[in-house]
Amino acid sequence: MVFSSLIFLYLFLPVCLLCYGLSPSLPVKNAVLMLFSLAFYAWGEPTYIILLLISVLMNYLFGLGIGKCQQTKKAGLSKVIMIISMIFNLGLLGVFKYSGFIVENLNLIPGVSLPIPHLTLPIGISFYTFQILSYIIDLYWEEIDVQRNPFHLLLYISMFPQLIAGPIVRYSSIADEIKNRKITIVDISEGLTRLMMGLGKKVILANHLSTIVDDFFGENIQLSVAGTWYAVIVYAMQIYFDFSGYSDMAIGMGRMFGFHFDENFRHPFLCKDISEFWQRWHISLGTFFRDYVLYIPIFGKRRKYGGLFLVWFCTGLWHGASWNYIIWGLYFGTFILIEQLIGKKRIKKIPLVLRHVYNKIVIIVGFGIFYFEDIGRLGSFFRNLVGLNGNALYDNVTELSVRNNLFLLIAAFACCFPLYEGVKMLRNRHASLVKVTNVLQAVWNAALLVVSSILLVDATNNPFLYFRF
Amino acid sequence: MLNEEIRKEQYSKDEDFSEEELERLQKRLEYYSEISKARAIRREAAACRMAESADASKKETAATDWYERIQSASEEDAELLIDDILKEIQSSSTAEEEASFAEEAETYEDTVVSHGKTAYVPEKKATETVPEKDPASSAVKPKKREAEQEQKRKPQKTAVSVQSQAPASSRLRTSGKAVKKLQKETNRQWKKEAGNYISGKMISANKKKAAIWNTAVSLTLLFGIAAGMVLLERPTISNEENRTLARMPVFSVDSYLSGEYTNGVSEYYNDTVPMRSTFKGMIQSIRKYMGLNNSSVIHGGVPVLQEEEPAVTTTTLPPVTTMLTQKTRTEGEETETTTTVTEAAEEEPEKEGEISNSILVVDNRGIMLFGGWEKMGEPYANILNRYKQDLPEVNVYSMVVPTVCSYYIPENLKHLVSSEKANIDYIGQCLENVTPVDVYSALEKHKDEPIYMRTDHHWAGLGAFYAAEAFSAEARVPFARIEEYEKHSKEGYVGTLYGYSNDIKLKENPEEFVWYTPKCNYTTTFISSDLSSQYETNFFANIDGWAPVSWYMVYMSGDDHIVHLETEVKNGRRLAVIKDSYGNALIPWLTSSFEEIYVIDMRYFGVNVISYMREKGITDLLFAMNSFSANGTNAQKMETIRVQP
Repeated sequence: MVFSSLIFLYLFLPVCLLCYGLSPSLPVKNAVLMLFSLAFYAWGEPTYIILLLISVLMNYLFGLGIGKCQQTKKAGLSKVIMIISMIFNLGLLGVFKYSGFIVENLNLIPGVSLPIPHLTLPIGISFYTFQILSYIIDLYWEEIDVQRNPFHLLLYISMFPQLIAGPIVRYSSIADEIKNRKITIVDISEGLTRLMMGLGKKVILANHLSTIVDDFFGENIQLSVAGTWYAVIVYAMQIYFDFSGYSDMAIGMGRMFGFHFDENFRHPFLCKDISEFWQRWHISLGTFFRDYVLYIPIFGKRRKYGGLFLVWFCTGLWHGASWNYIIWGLYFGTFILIEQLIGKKRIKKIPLVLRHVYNKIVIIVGFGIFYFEDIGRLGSFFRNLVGLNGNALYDNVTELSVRNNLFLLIAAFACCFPLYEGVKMLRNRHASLVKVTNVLQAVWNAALLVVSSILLVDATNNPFLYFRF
Repeated sequence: MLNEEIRKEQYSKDEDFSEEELERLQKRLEYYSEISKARAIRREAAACRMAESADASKKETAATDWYERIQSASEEDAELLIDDILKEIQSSSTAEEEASFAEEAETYEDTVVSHGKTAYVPEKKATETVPEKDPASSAVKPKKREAEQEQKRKPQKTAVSVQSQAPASSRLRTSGKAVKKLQKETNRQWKKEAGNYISGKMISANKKKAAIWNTAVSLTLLFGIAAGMVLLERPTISNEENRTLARMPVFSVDSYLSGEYTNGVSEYYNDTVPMRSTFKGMIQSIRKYMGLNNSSVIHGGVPVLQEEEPAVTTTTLPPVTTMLTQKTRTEGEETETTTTVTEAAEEEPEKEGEISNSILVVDNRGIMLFGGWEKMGEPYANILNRYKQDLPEVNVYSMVVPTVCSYYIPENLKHLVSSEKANIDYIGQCLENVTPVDVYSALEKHKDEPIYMRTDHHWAGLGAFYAAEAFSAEARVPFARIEEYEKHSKEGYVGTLYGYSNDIKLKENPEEFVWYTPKCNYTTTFISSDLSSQYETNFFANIDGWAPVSWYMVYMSGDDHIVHLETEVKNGRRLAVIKDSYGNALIPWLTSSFEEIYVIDMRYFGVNVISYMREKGITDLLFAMNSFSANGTNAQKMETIRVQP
């Protein structure tokens, strides 16, 4: 069940909110939320829910084990359990997500011919595996207390707002809120606002941008240079609104249930360099790798560069079992390495305009790599970008598409900037705006909900992009 | 103005300053900045005070009003205003409170001023920093004061002009500037802080109320719509789309485990929304007014059209781009105004059009816009050349049919399309040993006749006739006159372009669907695309009772099978036609020209086409398709069927 569907918005969510709201105490609320979350997952993955449950149960036991060892000061045993847990979790992810990819690549070696396993990828496995890992590792590092209530752990992992498309919520960030949280009317209001914002981003902007992308990047379509650039820029915006829209909805719904998730996107296209881009784009993933992978001591003296390479390899691979994602990750890693070698101080001396041009081109071309899973088509995309395919520089199809979608494109472009924050700042400075903005907020939310819902009636084009993750 | 003194002093002296003097000035600068800060603090205190008082008495509007006034006033006026306001507050609050506040404000000031005095004692201006104590003068008329200050400012202005002429010490100038800058910054800072403070108070006072309202509005909608979705009657069919909507699936353990059940329920819930048709209409207007075009289709792309239940159209819409809409005339008017329109057309009027939904509608004619450039046709030509290499003994012909946009687009909208002629000509140049058939000029000569459909993306039977005539001349085969055919027609035709564009003007102006059947004898066999089965049938389908949109399928009932015709002609010529749906209308016109005809749709052919043609002893191979197909994905499909096993 995707958030941007009528059955979710007008059946699942209202019923869930009603039950949650009518629950008299926090333990009951937790139970309601957990049951609805499991129902939510079972709706999309009727069989793989077993996998989720097993995974949570095993890690609950691993957690207890680590906790026990720490109490009795058996550091060695604690490490062993941690490593077993790693192998178990990453093993599951590897089997279900990467086995096909690994075997395909092994088969490229002459003489090797293994049957390719066809396992469908359980929805959200990449997200919840990482969430479990954050629990186990933090526990091993003694940064959190062991969770003795298996249902609390299950609630943390299965909580439906963040279950299938992130953000990757750390256990440490909501451990306290599971046991003790207050839900105020302000939380609900802010949560609803966030939910509508995300819904609008997804249904109004991303879904319509995706039709443009499909038209241009479909198979066997000859593109002009301008058309290629146009399409890949539109694609970058599509992914941003789709992904950040999902995160907004997750954060908003979390807030309505009283949880405060960390931000996942902070206007990434405003970045001044690539390093900053990744501090603004999919923050929960970036910080996850930074905290748990970057300092793995397996590269010895070359740890700095080795760690960097590993992080970006993993970042790429995490997005999908295909070479283009790995290239995509390493592509960004390369630019970040270059930026690190040049040094922050020296980069700051470069005129801002140049820095923006540089990073926008890198980011946009990066999205091209992200789009084309077929390496042949990726090559053709690169040639199209610079006109090496004998394609025209410019064609009127592109012009027409721009004209046809002008308002959409302008709106999408504008929404890449922190408009909402801008209005908030104005309001904070001018007391006369407070009341107006409060009214506008309510009206705007209602409008977003109504327009998005109507558009969803004709949902011929409502892609769910995270099935690969 | 704080730096007034510095300036005056600066110009009263010579350019040279001693170190002491500079030091003195520096101290003064510091002192002024302190003063400036003191003022800021005082004003901030005043603002806070105002806000608090406003909160207490629920006079938000008053506070806002004051705040706005202070914001818009100049620095001096602001201070006067604050004094005014303080008076006002004083009158509405207890004397005790006021006294404590006044004390507080003055303490701030005194501390700072006395600190400044130790560093440097200003000769005058003391009054400026001390609040007016006299009630009479504090009930100020700002305008009067402003006038006074304006006078004060005047000499200063001349001083500035002097400054620009006289070369003064640059260091001092910097000092002057620094004072000014500091002043400005402090000013901005206090304004911001005071604003933040008041807003903050307003926000927190309103926060809960706003949250309640926001929540109430959103949740009412969410629950209200949910109730409507659950309780209202759900439609089972869609008349507009001519299809049955999804049904609630039946539960079984198997269907649940496979995910079919849950998917089915989701689909049912999403598909059978109560008042679905109303919402569909609203979607069109939302997309239109918000500039969200769902089908900005590109060369090679195919807009998604819900398939009709009774007779599924397998003809694919060639790729397209934009649609402008023109105002409709009712049918009665149409005939009357025909002449006027023609006249107007000669004057080339600016046709009013609005871009909507990817198809241009002019004079109730839907036009798909061609967007390919010249060289885009090269792959098509190369594929044909390879066919010729594979079949050196066969005559290969290329017939790229231009579409409506070549002939019927008004002058002022011509920039919306690329030239199909240039593209077709370029293809002609790239062909090697393949004969191009010039359909472009053949059709151009007859463009005043109904050679294309108005509401459908296909050409009409008549257009195909002229094209076939041109082809027969190239192929040197006999060709029957149009009198050898029987004409049929059916009123009320609204073709695919309505479905693609949803432009109501097309629906309101149906046209006549005309087709011609040969009087000569021939047999038709339909062969399944994988050659597994075949049966003899009529070339022309009986379209009585079919939805108008699918009437073009009168020609060989669609595209998804191979069609084999045997005629009474005995000239040893066996023709294979590799075509898209445009080719369908062409076939009847060739029944007096070839002994046998094999019609192959490049999209539906399951075996290797080269060996198939060898096996059938083909002597002539015609590629017949519209320019969109030749430049798009369909061309690639011809390559697929050439190389596939």
